[in-house]
Amino acid sequence: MKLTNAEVIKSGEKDLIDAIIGELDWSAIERIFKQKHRLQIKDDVEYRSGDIVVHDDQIAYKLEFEVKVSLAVLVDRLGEHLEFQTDEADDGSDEAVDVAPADDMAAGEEKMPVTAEVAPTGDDAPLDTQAVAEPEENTAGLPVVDPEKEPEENVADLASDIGSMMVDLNEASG
Amino acid sequence: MGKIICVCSQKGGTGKTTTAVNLAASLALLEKKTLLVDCDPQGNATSGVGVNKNRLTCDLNQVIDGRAAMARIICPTVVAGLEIAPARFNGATLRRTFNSRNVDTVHLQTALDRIASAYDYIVVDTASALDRLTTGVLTAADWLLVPLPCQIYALESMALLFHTVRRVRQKQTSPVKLAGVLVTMFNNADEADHCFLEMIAERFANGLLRTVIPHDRALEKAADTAKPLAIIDAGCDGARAYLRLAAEMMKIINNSGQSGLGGFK
Repeated sequence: MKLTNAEVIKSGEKDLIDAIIGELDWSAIERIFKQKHRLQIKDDVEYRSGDIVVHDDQIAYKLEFEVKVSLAVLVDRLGEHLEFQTDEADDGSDEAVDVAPADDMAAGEEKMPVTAEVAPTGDDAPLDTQAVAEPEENTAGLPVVDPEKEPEENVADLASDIGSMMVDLNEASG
Repeated sequence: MGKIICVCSQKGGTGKTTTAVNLAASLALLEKKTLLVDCDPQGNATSGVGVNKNRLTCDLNQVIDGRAAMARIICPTVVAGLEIAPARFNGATLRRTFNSRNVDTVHLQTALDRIASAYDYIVVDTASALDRLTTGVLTAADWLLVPLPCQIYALESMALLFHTVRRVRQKQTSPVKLAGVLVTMFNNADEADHCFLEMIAERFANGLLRTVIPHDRALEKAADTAKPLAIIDAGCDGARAYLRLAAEMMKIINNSGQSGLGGFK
């Protein structure tokens, strides 16, 4: 027995989540991720999605974010894995983050989805990190300014490389 | 079906908004029905065609969010034949809204597809970033126009832009084509600018547009008055250059229809 319009409920819930996101203190969110997850965030925190959930018998708002962090693995001279840590651990913290690395994972930046649950009271609710990473875009090898070259030489070299990229793109569209 | 031209460069201060506003106005003055889409959350292009952002009840934010149809937000401008899909400065919520959605390009692309038949050209201004909002615009676009001032950093940043374009194209059924690189803010009295132009002209070959936008203080003054330059003084250097650009872009796009190739082949 349908009592009301489901679209109204759906749209109302979405507006509520949007309103919550609109009022978020983004620097506080970053601080939570840094302090509670020991993530050294490299870029802006991006909101992914939100949902209304029940947490500890009370209504809570589950907000998912995407953050970019630097991760690294240490390998000894025998090729054995030593530990896995974020930049923060590198920067002086004694404590390495205990996350199992993929066998072939090398040092680099990773984008990680992170979930935060915000209780209606506004308190910092428990956070949950999922170590599912998206592959980072590989921009290695792109033409860049070489500080050791003369300006004219840099312009000439960059223009040559970019000109070649344009030809490649043009051929690909043909 | 209107052709979507994306004016893009992740480097700031390259003349993207000035180019988007004045190219769109010039196309309209050449009697082409044109829509300017302001995909820069700062909303400067919206102001640039005489729209008061404080009087808007909705903007591109709602379209990208799927809460409004593009037709609902489009409004007239100070130029006959030119309309705008405006953006308000909402604490950069436009970019945040877009970046927050997993749907990514869907709403924007669908919205542009739905209204494309009502225009001859759709010119999209983008933010100085290669985030999801800008890559979403690239995905929806037919043509890419890259403004380039005579600065080495702007040249360097083009490499990342083209790298991104290559990535975006892999997802497109109808890949965005390069209309070309447009030299902007060219100072005719500066030997270094001539040297720069000469070097890139040799190496970009047909990828460099013939039109060069001069450094013209009148373009900045026109922005101060929230109008495209051509409707203030169509005879000055900047306005004439953008009218030439509009004609060159129309030629590139029309010729491409026959050859099926990119703009500078």
